[in-house]
Amino acid sequence: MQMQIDRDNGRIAVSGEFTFTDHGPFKRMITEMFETKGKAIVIDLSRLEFIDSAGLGMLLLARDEAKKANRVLVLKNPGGQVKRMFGVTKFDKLFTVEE
Amino acid sequence: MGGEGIQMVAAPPGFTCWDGVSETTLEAALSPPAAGCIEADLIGERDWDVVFTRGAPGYLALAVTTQSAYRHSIVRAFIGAMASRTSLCEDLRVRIYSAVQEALMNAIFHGNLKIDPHLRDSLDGLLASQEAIELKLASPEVAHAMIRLEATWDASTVHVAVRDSGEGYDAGSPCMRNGHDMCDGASGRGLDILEAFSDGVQVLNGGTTIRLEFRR
Repeated sequence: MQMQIDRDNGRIAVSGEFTFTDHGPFKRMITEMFETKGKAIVIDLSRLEFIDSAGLGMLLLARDEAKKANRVLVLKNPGGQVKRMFGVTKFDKLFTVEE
Repeated sequence: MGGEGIQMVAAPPGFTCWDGVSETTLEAALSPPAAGCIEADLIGERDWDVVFTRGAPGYLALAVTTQSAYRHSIVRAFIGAMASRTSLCEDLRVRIYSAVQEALMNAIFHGNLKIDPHLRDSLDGLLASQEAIELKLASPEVAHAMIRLEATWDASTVHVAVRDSGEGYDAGSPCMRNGHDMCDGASGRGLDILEAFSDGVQVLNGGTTIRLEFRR
C-alpha cells in the first residue's frame, strides 16, 4: 500500500493493495492521521485496488483511534474490489462512506 | 527452463523452484509451461508426487514456506499465473483473488503460526501480534512450515485448494468466524468472505485444507 498525505486538508490517499502484509504502512497511517488538521480525517480510497479482511480490520482500528481523539474517519470513493468487499462485509454500515 | 528466480535444484518433473526472494522471481518461476513451483527451501527428501495430486489438464500448484507467504503477495502472483494459462474474466479474477487471499491468511495465521485471531481486534493487540509473528518466524521449523496452493480448472469450473501444515480445527470452531456475522470487530470475517466470493467452500483434512469452487 502506498500513501499520499495532505495534512492541511485532513486527507490521506491510499493506493495499491491493503492486505495483511501492510502493518508498516498502517502504523504510518495512524501517525499521519493525527498530523492532519480538522475534525474529519478523510481516507481517499479511489486508487486502492484490493483489500482483504486484514486491511478492513486495520481500517476499523483506525476508525477507533480517530474516535478516541474525538475525530471522525471518513472513507471516500471506494471502487472495484474494495467497494465489493465493503458490500459483502456490510462495512459501509460501520463507517461514514462517501461516494 | 531458465530465468530469474529459478534455481537448478531438484524439483519434480514439470515443476520449477522459486528462490523466495520476490514476487518478480515468483512470477518468473510460475510462468508457463511450469505445472507448479516449489520454494527452494522446501526441496529435500519430500515425495512430491504424494504432496501434489497432478492429473487434470488444467493444473497449477505452488508450495511455499510460511515465511514467504507472510512476506510476499503470493496469491496475486499465483492468480496471474493461472490467468496466463486459462481465461479468467475480471469478475472471476476478483472473486478468486478475494477468496484465496482469505484462505491463505487463514493458513498462515491460524494454521501454521497459531496466532489468536482476536489479538488483532485492537491497535495494541495488532502490534503485539506482529511481534509474536516475528518471534515465531525466528524458528526455522515454523518459518519453513509448508503452505500449498493447488488450482484445477475446466471449461465450467475453477477449484483452488489452500492447505496448511497445522493441526487443523473443528469446522464449527470460531477460527474464521467469530460467532456473530459481520460484527464490528476487526477480525472474524474470513468465512463470510469465502462464502460471498466463491460458489462453494469445503473445509477438509481436519481443517488444514480449504477448497474453493468458482463457476465461470
